Amino acid sequence: MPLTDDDLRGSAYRLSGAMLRMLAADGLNVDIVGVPDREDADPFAISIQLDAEQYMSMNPDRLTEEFNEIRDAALATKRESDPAGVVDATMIDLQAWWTGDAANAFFDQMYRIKTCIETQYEFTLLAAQAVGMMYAVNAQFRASCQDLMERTADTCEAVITTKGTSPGFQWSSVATSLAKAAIDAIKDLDPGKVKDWTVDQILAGAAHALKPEPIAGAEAIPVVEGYTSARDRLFLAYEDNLDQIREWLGTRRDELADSTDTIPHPLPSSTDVDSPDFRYEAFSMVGEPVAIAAEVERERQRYVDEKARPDGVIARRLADGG
Amino acid sequence: MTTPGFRTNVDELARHAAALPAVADALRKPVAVLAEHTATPRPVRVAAVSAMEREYGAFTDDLAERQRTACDRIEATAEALREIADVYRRVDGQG
Repeated sequence: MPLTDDDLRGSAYRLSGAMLRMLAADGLNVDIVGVPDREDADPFAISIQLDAEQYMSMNPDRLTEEFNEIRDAALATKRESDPAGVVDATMIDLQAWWTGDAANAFFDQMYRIKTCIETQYEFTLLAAQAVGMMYAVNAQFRASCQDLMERTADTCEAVITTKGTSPGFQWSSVATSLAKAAIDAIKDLDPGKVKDWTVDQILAGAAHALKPEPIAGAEAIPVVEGYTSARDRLFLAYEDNLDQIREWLGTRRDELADSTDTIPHPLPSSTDVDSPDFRYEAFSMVGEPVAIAAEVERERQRYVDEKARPDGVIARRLADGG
Repeated sequence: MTTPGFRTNVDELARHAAALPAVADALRKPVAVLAEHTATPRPVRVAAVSAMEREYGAFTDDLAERQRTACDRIEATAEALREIADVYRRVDGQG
């Protein structure tokens, strides 16, 4: 599970205390308000707390909730939309018994409904996958940030106990590449697997790609500078990964927009009995003589006329909602 | 006069037309989830988070809009089939 906001606040509190003690032990006082004195301690501690709040820029609980909701929406779209196979049954009957332009238009429409359900399912799973990426990046970012704060606090304590002698640590990249490794691991996932996963499984998948790097420090000022530069690199890496997720989403969005044939189209007027374009020939039964075409046209016209009458049977039925 | 098979097939057509709106109803249910965006509350605003959330919101809005449009067109398709079946039943002497 990702670190909580309170975990990060706790580490920030420990770090600010350790850093102030280290600076004092090294004969330095923090000077934020002009004259170095005790009044500077609170703004210094607040600045570390503000760092921690930057690390809380997304809420893992909300992302978990969003992931579950979007994944469930995808599953509902696929599994609950047509459990009785109405679309398939309609396609079979249309193909077997009905012929003409309008019949073909209905058949094509049924095919598009089928592909629409599948496409909506797949792309909704991709949305869930994006949330999984956000979650994993955020969780790793929080872990890296806490790691940075705790290791920096350890280094401060080491500087204090060795009375300013370098404890022998060296600053390094402080895990700033972690989030990128996490996102690379997730965006190549098979979307089909996402339907059965939880966000924590996605995080575990990302964790395999991660190799934490040790950090280190030296005497008081280099420790403070080491912390701030590592924090800045970490934050830049975090923003870079958020940008990657945004670009990935943009590409999926473009692909969805291009899938124009996977959504039902408006039907042509030849399918509409209200239109004079409707003809029996456009929707005729296989084996049924077209001789009934004239009768169909008469009944169609009667039907349209009745529908137009406010007191007609059809108009009343429409007013009642079918 | 129509052939005996005509009545059977028109009845099947009417049955399909009556069943299709249930597909639209079921597809409409997840639309609210797709269209709903609750911004992540945060103590500090981070531009990259906001930009990513906007893109995510736009993507799920697109999905919601497509699904809503699909539902409307499935209902229109069902209605068109039902009206054809109604007219053909009249031709068959049932109307």
